Amino acid sequence: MAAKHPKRSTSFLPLEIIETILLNLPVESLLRFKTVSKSWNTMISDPAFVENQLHRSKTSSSRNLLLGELGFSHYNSEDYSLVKIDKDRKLQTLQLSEYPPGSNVVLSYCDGVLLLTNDRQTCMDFVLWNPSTGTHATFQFPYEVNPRSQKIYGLCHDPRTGGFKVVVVVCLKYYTVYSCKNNSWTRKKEFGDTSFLVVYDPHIFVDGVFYLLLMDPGIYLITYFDPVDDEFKILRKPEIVVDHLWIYMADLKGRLCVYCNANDGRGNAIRIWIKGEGVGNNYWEELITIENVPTYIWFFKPLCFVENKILIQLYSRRLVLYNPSEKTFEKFDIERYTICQYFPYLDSLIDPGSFFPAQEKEEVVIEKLISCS
Amino acid sequence: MAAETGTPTTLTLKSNDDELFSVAESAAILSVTIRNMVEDGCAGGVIPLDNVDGKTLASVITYMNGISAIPADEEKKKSYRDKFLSDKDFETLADMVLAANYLNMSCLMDAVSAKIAQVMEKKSVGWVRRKFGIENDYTPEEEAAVKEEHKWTFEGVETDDDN
Repeated sequence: MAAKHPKRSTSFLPLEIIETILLNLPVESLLRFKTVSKSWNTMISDPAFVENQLHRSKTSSSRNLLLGELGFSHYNSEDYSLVKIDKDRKLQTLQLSEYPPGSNVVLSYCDGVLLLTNDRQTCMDFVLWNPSTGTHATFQFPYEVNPRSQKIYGLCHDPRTGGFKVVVVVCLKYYTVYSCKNNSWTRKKEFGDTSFLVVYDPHIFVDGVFYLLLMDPGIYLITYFDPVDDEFKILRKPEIVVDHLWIYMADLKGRLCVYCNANDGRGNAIRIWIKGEGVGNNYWEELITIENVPTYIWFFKPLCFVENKILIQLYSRRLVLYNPSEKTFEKFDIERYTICQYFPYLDSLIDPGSFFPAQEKEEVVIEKLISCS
Repeated sequence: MAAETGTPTTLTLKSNDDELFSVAESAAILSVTIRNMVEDGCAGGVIPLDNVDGKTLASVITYMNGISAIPADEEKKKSYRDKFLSDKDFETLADMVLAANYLNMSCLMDAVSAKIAQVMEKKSVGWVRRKFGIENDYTPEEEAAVKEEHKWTFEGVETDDDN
């Protein structure tokens, strides 16, 4: 055995062990290590590796990455920063990513990919962008829309159907679905004579579908868009949540959560329920009751777990960590700068362009033309 | 199978360089490979572990004893694993990941893989090639092209210390 040689290299590490090790690395390191050798490049570029890496980021106990627009006092930069948060309440800026040219309005996000546009009013041009890899792909909205209509944008990445789908809901008339795989939009689908309102924006993407909160006069409905058949469906709420109670949604631990005021004499307490994993699973269990909440529920937004603590956005700009054992809110020392527009973020290798149908590169076409003549 | 005598059963493990180690069965069966051998009744004499050297096996047994002494408390187990791996160099970690894979110990495998990743996260491509013993099979032009594509990931890389 190699072990008996006094001096040896570790080149005997089999590829499957190397793969297990590499799955623990952030995207930035993985992209750099494509340069190590051809076999490493092939492994890191493999769609199965990309899916495994994504699954790992999702199920990690600490999804402590945030993507935010970094602002120095009143100056907002043109860049996005990827920020890592640890349980000692330190913010570490990992990477600055420039927007793809011209598109700086974030409409939606899922699995490390952002849906951007250039103008929130018209929204005719869309960009799918992965800030971790810097890759993006563009496409256009085909229908004329009254700029004053309320529009809701949804993005979902479903391994079952392959690729990304973008849903545009033009309230309250119709919705249409763009499939990146087919590079086409569906015809407009009417909602019928429902009178519901969308009360939550943006949506929550988990289980390979996205969830929207709707209000059918007086009654809250949790609905989800299923990319398998492009239909909106209704999900059963936790039984204890009565119909008229204001509810909110969050993605914690990669699962759908709803929260509302405790209303049980505990003062400012917020109860959070968590749904079982998987789209067909409507089993709810109570996750936690957050006590001593210093603000109203509409200024309260749980972002992610950092080990056993919960990162919460208060008002629109303050970040705090809730410590469940002490029932206290711990402040961050981030006076130097503020971050606006936080997104709980997943580091992923997904190249949005790879979900579009392969297009022949120009050079190839030219070569073909030359060979024909 | 363990006899119901009340005294803990001890197994003898043999490394590929013929060192012998005694370890409590309850700790050793953290390894699925060893557990299967025990269940198949092969544990009567000495259990030969042909893919693990004595130095690595001693370390793995320290881990087996340490982790099995901790009651079911995932936080404490995690902090034990962190402390256990904190002073290990790259070569030791590489030996341990191979041993953990051979012994089929998923908790050790996960912890060592994560530790190796943590060590290499900020390292240069050259460092990774040397430590993993990987030959650069790119032509200079190909390498430059791959590097150019992800140029920004080469910023902030640590200078090689080869420790």
